Amino acid sequence: MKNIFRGSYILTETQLIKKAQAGEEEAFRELVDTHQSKVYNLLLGMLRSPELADDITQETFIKAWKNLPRFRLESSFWTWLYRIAYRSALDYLKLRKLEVGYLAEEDQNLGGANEDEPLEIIMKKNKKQELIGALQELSFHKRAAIILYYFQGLSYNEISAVTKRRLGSIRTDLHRGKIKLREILCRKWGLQDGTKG
Amino acid sequence: MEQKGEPRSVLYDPNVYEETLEELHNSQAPGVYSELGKEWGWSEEPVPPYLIERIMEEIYRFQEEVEVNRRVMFSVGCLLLVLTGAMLFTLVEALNTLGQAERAQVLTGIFWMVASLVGSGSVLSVFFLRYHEREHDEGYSLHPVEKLLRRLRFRK
Repeated sequence: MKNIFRGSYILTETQLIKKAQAGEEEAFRELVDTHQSKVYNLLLGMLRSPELADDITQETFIKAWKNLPRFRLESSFWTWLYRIAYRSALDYLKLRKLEVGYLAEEDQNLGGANEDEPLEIIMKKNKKQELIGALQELSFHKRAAIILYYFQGLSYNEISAVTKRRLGSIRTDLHRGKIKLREILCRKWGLQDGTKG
Repeated sequence: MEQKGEPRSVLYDPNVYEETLEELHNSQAPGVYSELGKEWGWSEEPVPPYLIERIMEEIYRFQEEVEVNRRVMFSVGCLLLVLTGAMLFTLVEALNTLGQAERAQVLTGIFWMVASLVGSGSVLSVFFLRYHEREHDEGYSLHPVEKLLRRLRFRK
């Protein structure tokens, strides 16, 4: 459990959650400060656009605050936040029906390479753009499974808790998503797929 | 030069691809960005500095709204109570001036009025419960019945 320094004493995350549940806004601010990067980066991978990731991160924490009195500390706080973020992202995509390529023109939004930046940073940004671009070609459930399992290191059970989907469906999405991702990356980079003759 | 685990170098062979992805799974965690993850392009993007302030502003605004709503609900509740009392008083007064037959007719009318109010109230309650049930299904809220029980428990 992460300890958070506060004034002259240290509060555990559980203590912060309990204080926030009692209505202490400053305790919640510390929770936001601790977890906002995880939620933002998860949503950035799922939605591609920084503006959308911004909005849905805000929505996630506001929903979390509204429902905090009902959080029973049975799961870890970040699992609960991921669940809200996942549902919010899914709801957003359902609402807009923007599953694939909805932001094709905003490729540069992920911090497009700037000529004045060092080569290392440009390469890092390009890699991120390529990966996120390839992930966007997958369906939402496959994309979420790939991100949560490989890039967030979650177990099947944790993914099931976040997405509220069956383990079997997650395994299938992961397997199919992995194959599809390889195909997409091979196509993008003009590589020959070793499995195809 | 390509480094070990770099996606371009592992895509040729499906087995190496699988192994690298497993290694990636083992090296990553929420908020942890491993070297292998970075090779694949999963690096930490800095959170916009204004984000936390925006979230907190929304929360302060929400809390103010809750406070205002509480006061409005209390005032409306009190007003309704007074009005209901006045209505009942007037009704009893009016019934006392009526004859036996007329009184029966008025009571029948009142019965149907109350029945229709209860009916429409039930329909609204079902919609309300369904809405909260959806929130529960989404995984960030309690089941509405549990919510109601908790509230009753807190009242005691």
